Amino acid sequence: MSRDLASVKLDGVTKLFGAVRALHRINLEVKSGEVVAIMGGNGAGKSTLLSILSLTMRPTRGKVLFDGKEVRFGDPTARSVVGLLSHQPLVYPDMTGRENLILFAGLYGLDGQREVEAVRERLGLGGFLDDRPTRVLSRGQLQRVALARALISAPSLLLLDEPAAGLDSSAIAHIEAVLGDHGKAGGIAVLVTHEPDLAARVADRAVMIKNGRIVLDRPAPDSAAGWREIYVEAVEGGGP
Amino acid sequence: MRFLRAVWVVFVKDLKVELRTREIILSTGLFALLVVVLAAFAFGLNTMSGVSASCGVLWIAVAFSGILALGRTFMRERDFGVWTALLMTPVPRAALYMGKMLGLLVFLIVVEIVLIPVIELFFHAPLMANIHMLAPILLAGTLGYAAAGALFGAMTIRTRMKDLLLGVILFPLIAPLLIASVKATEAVLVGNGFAGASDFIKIILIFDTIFILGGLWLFDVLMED
Repeated sequence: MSRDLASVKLDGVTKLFGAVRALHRINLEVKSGEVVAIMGGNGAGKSTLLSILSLTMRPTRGKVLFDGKEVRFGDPTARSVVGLLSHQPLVYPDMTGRENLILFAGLYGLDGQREVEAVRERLGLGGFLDDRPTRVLSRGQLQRVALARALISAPSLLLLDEPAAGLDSSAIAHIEAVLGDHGKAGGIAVLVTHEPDLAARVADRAVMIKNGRIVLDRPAPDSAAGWREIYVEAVEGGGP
Repeated sequence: MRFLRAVWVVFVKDLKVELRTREIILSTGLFALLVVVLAAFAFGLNTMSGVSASCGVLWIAVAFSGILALGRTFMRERDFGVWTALLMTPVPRAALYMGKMLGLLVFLIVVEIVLIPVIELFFHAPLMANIHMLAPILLAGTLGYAAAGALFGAMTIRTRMKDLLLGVILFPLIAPLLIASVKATEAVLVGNGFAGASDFIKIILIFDTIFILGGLWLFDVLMED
């Protein structure tokens, strides 16, 4: 794993897009070994929150802290600990999966070949990694290549934005296994999802966002029904 | 070292993908050739000074076809959202800019290599005979274009009207560079040599410096949000 992080914290983070307030005074601390699932309606601010945690978006107000120290957004080394699995694949469509992984390994200052083999073994990636450009891969194959890209630098902070959308059960099982291993190895994972079943299987903590505010932050329910219940109560119920 | 390695990785990636798809060279080259052929017929081959016309046509073809190359080269980063993944890597973002700029420079130089004999054929201008003096002018002018283009291409990558915006922003900014490039090319072709082109070459080099340093300096800030 890249430099181990003991904690990641958002301290009073607000994000404005013109007059639109996407996030409002978000305070969230996630500690080593925790898997946090974030839920909320469309436009609640979940993806904006992930963008700020991935250091690709600067908050309008507030701070991002890694291990208690404020992150300087221009500092490239801060980015080395973050991996993102987005709803987009984040790989070049005209290159094979292997070429993509070697390219990104190079940008992380790694050799490439060794990391590709390690991640191939870990995710059980087949021949599709080598023999065809990623644009012709199936959704499930593409998502596994995308997950491999997110893991190539062994990030200690793993961010996942609706990772299971459109995937079959075997592909979802891979994601669950990765999240489980990541938490056990002391990594931090923040997962945005609309799927209570996935959240119930992988998350230690539940966070609900509504209109850019955290309206619930508690230990995760251990069943999908429990997740649905707190979602209805916090997000679809009254309140801000 | 990490900076140079990242520049190299991005640059080689662009070349590798282009060698595989040939999208940029083919579309840009064909468009540039079309501009030259249309200009040759529009100006009337026997009624104008071929030398003066050829300089303008050369740089018009490069400027307009360059917009196509710019759009396509950044489209590769936009498809599948790869730009976000690049911005998350722990390399100085200026290295991404430099890598894209060098790739664009190579694509445009390839197009110019194709254009020069065609323009000479249609306009009877002594381009090949003066290639030793033309090459540095072409390189310097194209470098400035690529430096400005890569900066504004990256800025507009996530906007909805990127193609329109790119042209609207880029052309007014690089107009002095293009005019200086046309005049420097003309000075060489009419036989005045580097001495006759020196003032225009200085303007080109000043623009190159401004765009490259501006790109390196501003790229990181401009890529946030």
